[in-house]
Amino acid sequence: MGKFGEYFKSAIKQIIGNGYRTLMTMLGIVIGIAAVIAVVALGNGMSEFVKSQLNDIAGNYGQLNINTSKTSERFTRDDIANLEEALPDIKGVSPDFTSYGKVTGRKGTFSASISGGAESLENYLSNGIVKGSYFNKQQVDSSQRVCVMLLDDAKKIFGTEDAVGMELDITVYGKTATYTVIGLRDHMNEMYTFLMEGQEYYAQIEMPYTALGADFDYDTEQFSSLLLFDDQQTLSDSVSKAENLLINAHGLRGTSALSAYSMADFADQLNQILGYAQSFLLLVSVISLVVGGIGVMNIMLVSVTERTREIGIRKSIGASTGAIMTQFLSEAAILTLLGGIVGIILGIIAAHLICTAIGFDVIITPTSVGGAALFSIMIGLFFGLYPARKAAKMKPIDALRL
Amino acid sequence: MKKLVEIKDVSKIYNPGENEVRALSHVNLTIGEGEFVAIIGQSGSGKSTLMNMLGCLDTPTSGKYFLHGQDVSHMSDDEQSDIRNREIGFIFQGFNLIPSLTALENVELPLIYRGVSKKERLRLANAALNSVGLEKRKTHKPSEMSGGQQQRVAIARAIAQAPPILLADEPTGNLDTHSTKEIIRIIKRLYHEGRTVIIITHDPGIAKQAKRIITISDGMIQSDIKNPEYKDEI
Repeated sequence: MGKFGEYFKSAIKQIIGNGYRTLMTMLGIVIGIAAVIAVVALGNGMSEFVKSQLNDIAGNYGQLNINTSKTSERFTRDDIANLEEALPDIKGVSPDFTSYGKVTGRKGTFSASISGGAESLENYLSNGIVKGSYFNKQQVDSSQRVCVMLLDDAKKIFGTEDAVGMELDITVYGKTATYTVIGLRDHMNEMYTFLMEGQEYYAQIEMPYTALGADFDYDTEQFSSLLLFDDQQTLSDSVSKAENLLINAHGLRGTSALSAYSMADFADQLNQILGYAQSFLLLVSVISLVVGGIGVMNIMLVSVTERTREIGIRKSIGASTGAIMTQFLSEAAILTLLGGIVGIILGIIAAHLICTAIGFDVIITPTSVGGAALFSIMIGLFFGLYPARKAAKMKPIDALRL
Repeated sequence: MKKLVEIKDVSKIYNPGENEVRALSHVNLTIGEGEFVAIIGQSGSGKSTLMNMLGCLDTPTSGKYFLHGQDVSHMSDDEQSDIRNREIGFIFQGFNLIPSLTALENVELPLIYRGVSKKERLRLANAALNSVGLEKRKTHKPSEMSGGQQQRVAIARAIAQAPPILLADEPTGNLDTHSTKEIIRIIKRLYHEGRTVIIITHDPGIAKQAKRIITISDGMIQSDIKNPEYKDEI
């Protein structure tokens, strides 16, 4: 340590002695590291944001589908009962009917997407019922003409959010029936608004599938699609168990007629896409770091040339190749480490500013800070290697002659 | 007298081939421990090449160089660095101090490369600076000192770790008369303290301060005499 400490000290002295030049050289590293820190923080914030917003829009559910062109088998009400019995911890299973039509209320007629399901369809969206109540099993079994919609839709259709008990006409394929609003869901979040921006407006109506079937001629004894609701943690597991049970029950093993996916898969896919975007940004930042590193190499080469005589003197009084090498390498590494530290501070500030402005959480992990510091040292060592070798390999007489 | 330096049939050829320059040609030279030698020659005589050879700064094209009986003529760079560090104290014409370091730090440098502990280093460096009369200039940088003072720092650096050989290359070449006298006085005193001193110079006035005078020209030793005018006083 003794010797090394001395080389280290002389390196710091040299860096301070060349203050202005040091600062300009460090700038490349500062910008590079700051960019890396900010990009990583931004990426983490974005991925957290997307995750939480996805959970807010959609409940945690999986979908099981039968490919109707590959088999004549269909899901039945018995399947639903069997699944709920075999998987007692899940929140429920529901048929999945979706239809498009018109709804007419006090304020006029609007396009609507109509979902028919069992009482567990309540879990389909995560914004809960804030007025009235969701339809129950008894209402499903008795095909009651009741429905649930969003506060936003109620405001649009009826001009008021106090719409529980109001009636509206629902028209699908020319048939019209009158339904009573019994529950209203909370407003949708920003992410939903963002995703729906510029798209045609649809009111979202949910009703018992039995009523949907009775009024608009759907077969309510067999279905091609089921929804399974469960907690986020156990969803994937439950969906694959259900998939297996259904494959066995319908003798579809070995065919690809039954498929399943869960919201967890969707979130994974989305995160993967975000991951690519982040990798790209990271790559760009790393390129700027490399450019900074080349700047360091350049200034170190200049320094070696300027200090040829010093190198000669040091060698003539007994400095070994290793000693000169260590001196110049530590100079480069300290230079980039200093740049890295300033870059980390600037990066954290930038991350705070950007994330706060966009509304993401500011997530700066110790790994990214430690990694950036380590990486900046590595850059110094890597780009300092060539100049340091050049200095160390000088012959003392050649260096002294100048 | 024990042999300290033994050069056997050493030649040094630059640019081998048609335009070759024979800087040293079959030189034989022996210097014993505790001698005071001046090597005198005009520029181009080969004295600088001989000095580089003696100082382990360069390797001979042919022939052998023994220092303390050890063949040092074909060592690796790092082995030569180590020999220079332990065996030889250099005093250069241009002082060769590192401008960014203080006098004390310059003197400490060879001790750092030797791996001497901080405490011991400071003790040795301070003692060396005191012995050349620079007690009050320890924290000065070279640019803040006169030529004579800078050369005294260089001498302190050369003797700090007590190497057996002091190799002085035109030590007074850049100095005024007053400083020259002072430096010669210090060098003589170091000889009296038991060090082997080798001065390389073109100046007969400097050479006649030494006890033994070796004249070199055209890469060959022309004469090697005991100096009749040598005065033992300091």
